[in-house]
Parts: sequence; C-alpha cells; structure tokens
Amino acid sequence: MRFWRRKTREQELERELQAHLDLEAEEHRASGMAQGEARFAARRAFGNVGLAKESVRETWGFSFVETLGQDLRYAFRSLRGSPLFTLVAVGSLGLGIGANTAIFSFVNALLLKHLPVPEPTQLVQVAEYENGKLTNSVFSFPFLAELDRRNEAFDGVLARFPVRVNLTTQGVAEPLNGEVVTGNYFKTLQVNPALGRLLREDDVTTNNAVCVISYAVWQARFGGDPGIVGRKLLLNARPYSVVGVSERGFAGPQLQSRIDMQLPLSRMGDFMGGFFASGPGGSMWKSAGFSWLEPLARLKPGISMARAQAMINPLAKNIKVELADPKVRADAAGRKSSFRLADGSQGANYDSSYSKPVTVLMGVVALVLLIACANLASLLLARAGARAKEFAVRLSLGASRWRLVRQLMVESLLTAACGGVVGVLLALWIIRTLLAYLNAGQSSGDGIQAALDPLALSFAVLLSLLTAVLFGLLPAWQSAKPDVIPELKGASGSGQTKSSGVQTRRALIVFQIALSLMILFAAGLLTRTLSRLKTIDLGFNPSSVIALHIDPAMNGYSPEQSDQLFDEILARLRAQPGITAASLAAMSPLEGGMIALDFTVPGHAAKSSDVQTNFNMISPGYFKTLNQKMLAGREFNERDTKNAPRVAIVNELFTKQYMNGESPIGRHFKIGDKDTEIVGLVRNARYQTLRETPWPLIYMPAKQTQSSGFSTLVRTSLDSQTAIAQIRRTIRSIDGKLPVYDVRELQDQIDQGISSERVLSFLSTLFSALATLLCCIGIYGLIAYAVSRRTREIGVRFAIGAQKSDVARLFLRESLLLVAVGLVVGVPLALAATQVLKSLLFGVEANDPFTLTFAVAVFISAGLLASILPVLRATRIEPLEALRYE
Amino acid sequence: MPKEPSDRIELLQGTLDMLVLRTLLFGPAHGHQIAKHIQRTTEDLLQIEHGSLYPALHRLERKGWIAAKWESAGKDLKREFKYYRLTAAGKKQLVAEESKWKKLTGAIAQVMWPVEEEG
Repeated sequence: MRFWRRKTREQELERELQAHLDLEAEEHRASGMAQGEARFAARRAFGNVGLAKESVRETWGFSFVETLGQDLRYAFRSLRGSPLFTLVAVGSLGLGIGANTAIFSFVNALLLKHLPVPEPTQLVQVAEYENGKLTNSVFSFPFLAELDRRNEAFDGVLARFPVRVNLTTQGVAEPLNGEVVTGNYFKTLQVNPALGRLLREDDVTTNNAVCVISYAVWQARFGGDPGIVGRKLLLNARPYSVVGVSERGFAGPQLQSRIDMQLPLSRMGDFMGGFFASGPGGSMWKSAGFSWLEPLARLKPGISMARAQAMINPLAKNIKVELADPKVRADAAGRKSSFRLADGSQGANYDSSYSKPVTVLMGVVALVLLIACANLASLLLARAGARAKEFAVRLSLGASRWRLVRQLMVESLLTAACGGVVGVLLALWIIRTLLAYLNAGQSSGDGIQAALDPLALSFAVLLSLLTAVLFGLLPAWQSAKPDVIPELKGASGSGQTKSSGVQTRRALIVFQIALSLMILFAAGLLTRTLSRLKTIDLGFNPSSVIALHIDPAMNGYSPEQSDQLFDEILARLRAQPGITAASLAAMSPLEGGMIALDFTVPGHAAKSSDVQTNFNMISPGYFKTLNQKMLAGREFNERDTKNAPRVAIVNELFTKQYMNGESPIGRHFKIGDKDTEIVGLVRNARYQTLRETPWPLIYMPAKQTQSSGFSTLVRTSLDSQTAIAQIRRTIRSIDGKLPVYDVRELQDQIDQGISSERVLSFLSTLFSALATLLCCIGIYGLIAYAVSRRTREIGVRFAIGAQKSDVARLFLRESLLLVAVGLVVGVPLALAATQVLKSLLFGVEANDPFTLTFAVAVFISAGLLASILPVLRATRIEPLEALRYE
Repeated sequence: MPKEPSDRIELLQGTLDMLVLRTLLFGPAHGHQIAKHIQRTTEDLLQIEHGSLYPALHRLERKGWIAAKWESAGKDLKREFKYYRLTAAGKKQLVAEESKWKKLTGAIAQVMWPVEEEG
C-alpha cells in the first residue's frame, strides 16, 4: 500500500513540475521566443530538475522500510552485476562463518559443557604421573576407599566402572549402558532422586541386587510408570529391583556417553562374569592388586584444586605403598610418581582424545576466518577502487556522501547475510560429517552430541559483518570525497588513496599467505601422520577379519556352560564354507582395552613397571585367524584345557625384557600362583592402540582362565556383509536370545581408532585448500589490477623494444615478491604453531623439513598460477592501442 | 528583463519559507505563480531557482503550514494545477517568522548604521 501511495506521489510530483515548466515555456513563447528556445529557458530558470525532485522526495521523509527496500534492490542489482565478486565474497564469508560455527559448536559440546550436577567445577579427576607422563587414571577399590576415608580436601571420592547391561523383558533382550558405582556416588555428585531413593553405602556393603535408572530411561523405556520403584528387572538373567529414578537430565558422569542405570560396585561379577566373579565370595572387585575404577572427587568448598593436590599427593603415595604387593613395595616407594588433580567438571573420563583435535581445529578455523576476512577486505578494497568512477558520477549527480555510504553499507550487509546463509548450511554439513566420523560404530545415544550453536554462529557472523562494513565503508568514504573531477577525467591511478589501497591489499595478501601457510603446513603434518598410521606394521593382518562380541553371562550362562557354548559356536563357524579360521580373544586387537595380571618370572627382579606387561586370553587358532607369525614353538590346541598343564605364549618383547632375549620355549614362570610353561613365541603386535610402542605380551589359553565375555574373530573369504549375516544366523541357531553386539570388520575398528586423525587430516586439508584458493584469488586480483593500471607503461616499454619476457618478468616478480614476503612471515609462524600439534603427530616431526618444503612449493606455484592470466594479458598488449588507452 | 546573474543576491537560508508563506497570504496559488510573484515583487533581484521552490513547498505542506489541492485553472478546464493555500497554523508561523526577521534586520541595521548618540 505504501509503495502504491509512493507511486502516485511520484506521479503527482512529475505532473506538478511539468506544469511549471510548461507554464514558464509558454510565457517565454508569448514574449516571442522560438519553441525550443523557450523550453530551454524554462529549464534554465528552473535549475536541476533531478536535484529538485530528489530534495522534494527527501522532504516526504521516507519510512525506514522504503529506503531499505530501495537500497536492497539496488544492492541486489549491483551484486548481480558482478557475479564473480559476489561469488568469492559470499563464498569466503560462508567458509569463515560455517567453519567457525561448526567447530565452535563442537568446542561447546566437548570442552565447555559441564556435568548437569550442582557446582560441577568442584569436581576433579585424579591421576598418577611419572616423569611427567600419565601412568594411571584407573585405581583399585581399596586405594580409592582409603583415599576417600583419609583425605581432608574432598567431600567424597566416588568410583565407577561402565558395564553393559542386558535387560530381558518377556524374552526380548535389550542392551543398556550401565555402571557399577561406589555407595557415595550420588552423594558426591549431589544428584537427587526424581522418584524413590538412590544408591547408598549399604547397597555395596550388603551387596544388594538393586539398581537406579535414569530419568530418560524411565520415560522412554518404562513410559514414566509411577509404580517403577520396587519393580523387578531381569538384568543379565538375574533379578534386580529398581529402588529409584535419578534426577531429570542426569545420565552418568560422562558427557560423551549416556548411562542408563547405576548398580552397586559389589555386583560387578554379574556384569563382567568370570574373572570378576572370582576370588573368595566373588570379591575380586575389592582386590588391591586390581586397578580398574575411574575416580571423581568433589573439592570441599573453599579449597582450590592446587591446595587439594598438595594435600592428597603425599597421602595417595602413602596409600599406594601400603597397599602394594610386598614384592614390589620397595620399588613402588622408590618411584618418583606423583598424583595430580585435573578439572572434572566434564566428568570422569581421561579421554581427552577428542578435545585436543578439536582445539587444533579451532585454531585452524580461527585462521580460516581471519583469512576469509582478509580476503573480503581486499576484495572490497579492489571493488571500491574499480567503482571510484561510479561514485564520482553519482556524487556529481547530486547524491550525498551519506547516501553513498549508506548504499555501500546495505551492500556489505547483504553480502554478509548471504555469506551467513552459506555459512549456516556449511556448518550443518560439517557438523553432520564430523558426528558421522567421530561416532562411527557407536549405538545411538552414545558418543558425541553437537548441534549448531547459536552463540558461535552469531560470533562468526558479527566478525564477518564487522569486516564487511569496515572494509566496505573505509574506501567508500575516501572515494566519496567531494573532489570528483580527476576521477571523471579518468586519470588512471595517480590518486593518493588508490596507491594506499594497493599497499593495504598487498599487506592483506601477505597476511593471508602467512596464515594459509600455517594451515597448509599443519594439514601436511596431520596427513602424513594419518598415512603413517594407516601403513603401520600391526604385526598381524586385519583385513577380511570380522569381530563380534558375545557375553554368555548376559544370558545367565555359568562359566562351564559358556565354555561349551563357545566350543559349539567356533565349531559351527569353522564348518561354514568361506570361513577360513575362527577364534576367541578376551581383548580384540586395538579395541582400546587392556588386561593386566600378576606374574613372576624366575631370575627377574619384580619392578612396578611390570604392570605394563599385558595379557590376552585366546582360543586355539587365534594367530592363524589374525595371520600373526609364530616364531617358535606351537599355537594353543584343544588339549590345553582347564585340567591340563598351564601354558602360555609370549611375544618377542617379553623375551627381551624378562629373558635377555633367550629362547623362551619350555621355560616356566608363574601367573598368580600357577606354574606356567611357555610353549610358543610370536611376533610383536600392536595391542591397545596404533600409536603405542608395543608392549611385552603374554597370551593364555581361554579355557585356562575365568573370563566370560569374549570377542569372536572370524577370517573369511566372503564379502563382509554376507559373512556377517552368515555368522549371525549361525549364532541365532545355537541360542536365539544370546545378545551379539559390536559386530564389525576388524579393519573398520582399526579405522575407527584413528577417526579423529582422519577428521583432522580431512578438515585441515580441506581448509588449507580453500585458504590457498583464497590467496590465489587475492594475488590474481592484485596482479590483474596492476596490469590494467600500467597498460600505458607496458605499451611504452614495448614501443622502446622490451621483450614479452621482460614484461612477464615484471609482473611475475611482483607476484613472487608477495609470496616470498608472505612465506618469510609465515614459515616461523608455522614452525611455532605446529609445536602445539606435537602430541597429535605420529612418525613425523613437528618441524618436518619435507612437509615444510612442500608447503612452500605449493605457495610459490600458487603465486605463479594465480598470475598467469594477467601476465599473459600484459604480454599481449599492443603498444599502439596501449598508448591510445584511456 | 531579468537582471544579469552577477547582480543577483543569493537568498539567505531559511527565508524562502517566509517568502512563500507571505505570498500565499494573498490567496491560493500554484508553484509557478508563487515563483513569478516573488520574482516580480523583488524585480528579479533575488536569485531563486524555480526548482528550489518545490522542496520548500513540500516541506511546508508536511509541516501543516500550507495545504494543497489539485484544481483546474479558472477558465482552462483541461489543465489542473496543484494549488497551495495558507492554513491557520501557517498564518501563525508567518507572524512569528516576520517578527523574528524584523528583529534580525533591526539588529543588523543597528550595527551597520549606528544612530549617533547624543553628547
């Protein structure tokens, strides 16, 4: 309606002024002038019609919306008029905004979020360090119980261990995430019940078969049933009563995974079976020699973390020595280990494996944002230079300086808004990709949760907006100065403002190159790390191996029944066509877990570093399944049963560390108090993680141990999907209710172990490519501008006999000079910055000269490539045309 | 005949409004009439571009000091002009501006041509 009124008003004004001019002309004609002359005289008396109209319109006082509409329409036209500028500007803004929003959303999800409990910053983690390296983040129950009892710094030290729980309802099995916890768990976290009561000390001391479920599970699984308290649940085929529901929002002490229920620590045997159920009365869980619990402590109000650390460090050492096995007590007392506290506001997980890559990515995207802003700034400067004439024309036609500035502001805002939209889309894509990468193989609900963070988005948008407005307006303000004559005359580029614009652009490009080099160098190092990790010698061959997990204890099998079950499963699998080998392992390779047991080797003085020697319980055929090479002796066979003499197989490192490298075959040592004969020697193989330096390892026959849950490994010649379906069918035909979980290709599991390396390498490479592209665009723009500005000079040069190569050299030198300065600034920056990456690198140094050379070479080629087009244009200039060129 | 441009005096800022209001005191008039009237009465001494009149008219209209209406011009029924007339508020404004102007010219005159003081 308003626009319509505006239109009639516009027409009326036109009519009014036309009537005036007509009357005036008529008067002149009446006094004897010719028609044309009369009209001209009327015009002259009237003055500038356009200006008068514009002034009248100003008195109408446009509404804000009208002006904005006008400016927006013009801005759209102007952006559409230069699609390349728009594409690059919107693209670089979108890149900067999108990358930052996505990564900062992750930072928020991973690094900044706290546990949903009161005063989360009072929570601390406890860990043991030796020579500055983390040696222990899990502890035995007696150790933590003593620490809790004797310290004066904490309001409670809780301990927990995550377990898998198999909930069976009317014959249907459903896996849940549980944890066994100490009696002070809820009191220390200060979590309240939503219903019923929470776990107490006496639940552990009297070993009650009770559980507390989370609010989310209560709602989702039990429909918020108010009669849930007192209900019996069948967990791992044993009856448990629900005593309460925990507070809404609380789902365990880890942000990255959701815990559905808490169980008393003493019930450990029900969930891990065999080994944990062992000991007198199933008391393995309270053995001092068994470190397995993750601690989390709450600081007393008013006690700082530093003070608490000073208080508990000597105490924890004392407790450790007191509880140590008499054999290693002296060694333990002599060790220079120290106990440190760390922020626990994000829960009880020492898994900082996510936070470091995310921090690095944060740095990378911050650089990307800076580069995008620099790129935008230099684009806007260039555009302002190119539009100087347009501004001059508009000024001389009566536009006010403010009007021009406002117009440019609207253009900048429009560009930034488009960039923002692109940014949001990009951010959503990056978040989805990252989540898919990082949570690959996790069941839903587990793993990292992250969503677009509005705060991060507004921060990135604001910064881009600021850049757009600042660099869009500064040159506009300058070129909108009232002195319009030289611009109109087309005096090319002698103006003061212009050359200072070029200087600024040069500086911006140097800045861009320096920052991009940092990203490219980092990306190079991370990519080399990834390729090293991928090509690492594992000691075995994971391809064509399917791994899956079966825990018969979850369906109430006794240890003896378990043994029979596994025998049958293996026998049936081996009989299948396309399956070349099948075996069991307590710890599937590179799964991330480890098993340590007590052992003594005759002739070897016990050291506390012996805990670094790890164990695996395996069935016959394990080394065949994994293609791990036997160096001497034999594999386990069907005769290595419970009642047969105890046997073990060791790796090369074991013989090196405990037997001076002599042949171990036939030698005896003790595992616990059981005499064991070494019957085989195998190659070293990576055990827990890819990055580890391999450890001494002892393999024991599965039948001679009390483990219950085993990974089943199957080597197949079929394609993996067919093989997996066939394996599932086979197991279902044996026991349909047996939960089978974590079914995957071993190779996938290994790949998943380096998923964060993949993400880092992928994203940093992507970002560095884009940053380099932005640099190229910047260099191209600057050189193209220099060529067009110096066309006449080039013409003169050609005219007095310069060769094409001379002219080409002129501009190539300028481009290479820019790159050179950028590199001189960038190389030290890059070397300093990549020091931060050190802990993420593998098989490559942080100052790797090869990678650095590569990065430098990329930029030199980029500089040359970017200037090829304008330089070619320069060499094709015709002297005569150039001299006529205005 | 119009005077040579060099003889013309530029209008003091803000006085055009007053002149327009004063002109309309004689009765409604359209833009061209107002321009011609000012031109005639000042004997072409004031340098007014006709174009500058219209922003002033629209401004005064917006302030409510004058009102406008499209009407056919007397005998010529085919042509319509936008006639402006003084409103009550406009009359008051004219009185106020006039007295302000008188004070100003009086003050300027006192400085420029001081009356000799006695003794």
